[in-house]
Amino acid sequence: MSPTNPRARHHVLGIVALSLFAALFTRLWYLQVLTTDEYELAASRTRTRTVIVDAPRGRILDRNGEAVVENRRTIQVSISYQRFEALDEPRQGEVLRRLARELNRDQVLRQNGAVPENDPGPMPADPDAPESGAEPPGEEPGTTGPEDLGPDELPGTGDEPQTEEQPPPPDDDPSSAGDPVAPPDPDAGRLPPAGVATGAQNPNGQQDVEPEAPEPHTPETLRDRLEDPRFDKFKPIPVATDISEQLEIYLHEHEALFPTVSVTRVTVRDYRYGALLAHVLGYVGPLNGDELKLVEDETDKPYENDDDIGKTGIEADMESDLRGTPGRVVYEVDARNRAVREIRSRRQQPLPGNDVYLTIDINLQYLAEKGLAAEIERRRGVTDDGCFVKACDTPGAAVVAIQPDTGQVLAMASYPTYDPNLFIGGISSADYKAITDEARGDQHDFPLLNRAISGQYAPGSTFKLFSAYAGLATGQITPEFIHDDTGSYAYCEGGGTCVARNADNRGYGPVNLARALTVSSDTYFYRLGDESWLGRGRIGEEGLQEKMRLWGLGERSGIGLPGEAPGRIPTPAWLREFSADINDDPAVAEDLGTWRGGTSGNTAVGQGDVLVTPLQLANGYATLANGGTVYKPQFVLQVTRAASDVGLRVPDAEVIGQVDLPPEWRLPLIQGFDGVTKPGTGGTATKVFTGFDQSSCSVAGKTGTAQVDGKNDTSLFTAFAPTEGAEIAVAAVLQETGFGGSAAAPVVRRMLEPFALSGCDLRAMQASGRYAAPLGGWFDVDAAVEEFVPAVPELRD
Amino acid sequence: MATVPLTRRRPLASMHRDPSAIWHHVDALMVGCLLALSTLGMLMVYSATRGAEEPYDTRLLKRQALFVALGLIAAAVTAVIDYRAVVDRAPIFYGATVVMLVAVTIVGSSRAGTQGWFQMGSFQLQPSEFAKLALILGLTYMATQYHGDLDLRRVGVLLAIGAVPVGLVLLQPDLGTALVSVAITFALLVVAGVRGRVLLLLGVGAIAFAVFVLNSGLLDEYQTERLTTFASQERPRTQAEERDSFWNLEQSKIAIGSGGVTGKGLFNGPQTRLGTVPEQHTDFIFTAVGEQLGLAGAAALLGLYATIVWRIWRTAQLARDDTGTMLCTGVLALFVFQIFQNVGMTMGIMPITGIPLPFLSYGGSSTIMAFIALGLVMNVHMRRFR
Repeated sequence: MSPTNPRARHHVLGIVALSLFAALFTRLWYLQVLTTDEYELAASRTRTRTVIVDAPRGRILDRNGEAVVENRRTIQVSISYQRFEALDEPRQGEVLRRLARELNRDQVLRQNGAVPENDPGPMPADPDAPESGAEPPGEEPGTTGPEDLGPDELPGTGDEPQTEEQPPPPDDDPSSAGDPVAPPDPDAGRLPPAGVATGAQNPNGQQDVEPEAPEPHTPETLRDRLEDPRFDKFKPIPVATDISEQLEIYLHEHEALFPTVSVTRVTVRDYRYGALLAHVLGYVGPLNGDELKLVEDETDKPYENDDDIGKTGIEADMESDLRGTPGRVVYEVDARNRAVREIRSRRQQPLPGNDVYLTIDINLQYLAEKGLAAEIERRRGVTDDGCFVKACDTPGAAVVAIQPDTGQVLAMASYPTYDPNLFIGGISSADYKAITDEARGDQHDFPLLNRAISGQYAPGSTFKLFSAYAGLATGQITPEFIHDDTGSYAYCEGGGTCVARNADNRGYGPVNLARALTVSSDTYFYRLGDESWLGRGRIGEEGLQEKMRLWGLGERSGIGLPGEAPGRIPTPAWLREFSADINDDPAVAEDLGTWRGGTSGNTAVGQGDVLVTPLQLANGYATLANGGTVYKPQFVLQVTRAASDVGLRVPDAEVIGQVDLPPEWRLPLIQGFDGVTKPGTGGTATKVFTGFDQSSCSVAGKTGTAQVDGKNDTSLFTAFAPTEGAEIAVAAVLQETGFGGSAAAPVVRRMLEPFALSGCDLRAMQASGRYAAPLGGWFDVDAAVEEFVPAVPELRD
Repeated sequence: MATVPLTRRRPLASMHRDPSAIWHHVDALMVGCLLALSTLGMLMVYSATRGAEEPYDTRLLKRQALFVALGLIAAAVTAVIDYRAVVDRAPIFYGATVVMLVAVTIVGSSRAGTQGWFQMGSFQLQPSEFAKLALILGLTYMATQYHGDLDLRRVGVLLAIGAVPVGLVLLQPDLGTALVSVAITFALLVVAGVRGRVLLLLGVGAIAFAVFVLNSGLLDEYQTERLTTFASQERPRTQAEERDSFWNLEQSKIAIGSGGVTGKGLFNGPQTRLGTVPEQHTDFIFTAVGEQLGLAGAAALLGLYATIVWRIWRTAQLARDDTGTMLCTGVLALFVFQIFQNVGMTMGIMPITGIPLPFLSYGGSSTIMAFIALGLVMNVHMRRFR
């Protein structure tokens, strides 16, 4: 082959060409056969965009099927922080000035009724029209507030949450109902904090004649809102909610004048009864980082990072049921990510969340909250009956009602309370401060705290049920055992003599168990405690405590609501350890940490170191009423598929304990409690129940007054009705309000009288419609004070 | 050769009846492949440009059909005129091309950073496409005069003939055409009989030069990036890379890979149809073939090309003289390099350069040029006995 022969040499070129083609084919094979799956996957990602369509949350209904929480559509104005910051200073000011002016004009027009309250109509069922702003409010809650608040995530709103059921103007005090910027009034003393709903419009009896206009928006308030650290700066920050449709249209038409401002229609929760049942219901807010971690494995109902999630209460506990299944619409997109067409085969309709029926009876709940507010109002400023330290002024109170045969919670109220509607659209700084600020004083002021389960109180004489049972079960006493109550009891230990006395130094003479309960003889129980300690060789050091714990005391019952406290049944071992913990000086620790007969006696009357939650108290009396079965308090009656009767789940009553109550023990106990409310028995609540017709439905009860160092007495009352075959057991606890018969017993009467008048039948009460809770949950507190409880004479236990 | 009595001679009839007429020696297989390719080309251009929904856009289809028609005419004309006469006039073509290349850098219109077009009404003329042909003609013209007797001076002359259009094209800058021109020059040097040692030296020199150019900053950054992207597919990418260079390559590979064996069906390529792949109707048209027609279609396309290349190579062997051989070799190099470079870049085994796929990519100048080039080969083929 001559090197100069072109024909010889182009063989080489032929081979080169062949190998190049071979290379191409090999590569083609690799891409299209060997790795095609990988590229197919990549291709489907590249060319589609998935739009998540939020599904409505399930409703929450009461045991009668009354909707308590629903959803509503509203119009929200938001500002994109990122884009807003990019504007120059004068332009920013201009936008805020303009926006504030329009918002105020809209507010005034809405108040005058010139434009209708916004009602964007029903939920859009059709995801064909995915709105650009179908996102939930874009606020991110801060993480503040003390731990014992349980719910420490507080997103929220700053706008008027009142619903259409507002009372007539003279009783309307907007400052108690969510005025977004009203500063706390320093002169208001123990007024509920601004932004805190009490259920009463007029908690302190002041007569506000004119409703104040809501604080107008100003460029400054808008700017504050934008700078509020609780909002995620990467999402649009909601600055106003519930604007009118007219303003929505105006803002849309004048987009050029309002750069960075967007108007979106959002679905929000609607707490139809306002502050009623707030602590049980809880509220929802956008997912925060920690929660996102918890739910990131959720595959059935995956979360987007600004989805709403239940923060506390039933909203949190039943999250997996309430949360709807998000739908999706998949679009094919072009290179510029513009939707070209929808891929219909991949569409998924959003499924609404399940409906949750609570065991709560909203009417009874209304009576409970109204009664609580009324009694707190009636006792405010009183300086007797246990309010000796200073004038009565309750920092907190709680009521729990339970159905004894099932453990179902019929009502649960905690005071002070708040309106969950406040959280809609982002809570205002002022409101947020009002319900969380530690500077307001005692942590018990915190309205977010559910005192019914998180509050731990010395039970006072209401504890005597458990002490009596412990005495019977350990054989320390018998029902027939007679104690001669001289009004005082002398302990003899360590050589010295110490004397404990009845509350009023009065002696009741010879008392058996039933009578000791009816008249609330302290010496009977001092003696029981003391002798139990002396007899510890026989019954053991913790003989009494073991029997007390059978009632579910001293431990959490395991309800789903967050923040349940365990309470405390003190024991010698506990006291030693506790004393060593708090006392530095070993000698002092030793002295104070030594369990004596007096300690035991103190425990037997529910003083000292005993702590119970109102829920435990109510459940304890429910256990007595049902014959000894300790049920786990139950809040959920059933779960059904959205807007249908298709039951998905009916939780069974769960037994968590059993108390052995033979009739020879149970009947004297019940007889003792029955006498408490009856005339002519010397019962401690006789006077409160004056005029209460118990002929068709007898009420058994027990007063309790717990002394708290340096504070007014805690007022407690427990009851169950009817006395035999009880349908309801109630416990009421009012901090710093005086004797049990002075405040707590009237609260219970306010609840039980309508119930008793209905024959102790909740259904009958509901059917009568006489005590129906109004939407919005509002009532006139002054009128409520006059109801049911006649001019109450001084009472004691 | 049998003698056939000819009673009457009519111009057209003679074509059919004169067995020695060049028409009897047309390479039918090549013509068939050519027609198949250009038909497929029009189809794919239509598929890539008609849009996602009705009414479909047929403007580019019509224009491409026009180019194909013009190309067929040009190929026929090229085939008819004796190639030797063409090569004899090579200096004119070469000179004219150089003038045009100079002119286009001065008054041409630019697109995507390259100033390489003359705007003529609604059409653009891309002289660099025709420069490739002029280069083949020019090199053939000189090399055949040397009859394989090449000293270094003569090699230098041949290199200079190649270097002038390459340099001018680089000025635009049109890297792809320059690379094709280098490939053509190299192939023709091989066939012209340049000694192996010299070729080796040239190869090494070319690589050294390429490295120097890549690192010197003579090229725009985007060009360097595009050229080196293919080599760095597996390493972690910076955001800028991700956005710019890799986009083309990734999307192209995704489109081809997702085609699988049978493809997604004609007109049904989500990647190419939705404009995810850039330049999908011109330089990246192979992605449309790969995605819509799958391995079957793409392999068939490569098969058609291979057949044509084989016919060109065969023609180079059969050619009556060195001139014919060299012309065919030049066209062979032109086609092989363009096909390998273009298809290779869509699949990530070659750097991304702006080179059209002959007969497939939308474009007037490139289509007509390809037809003319094959016309030349047919010219040689037809006259192999004369």
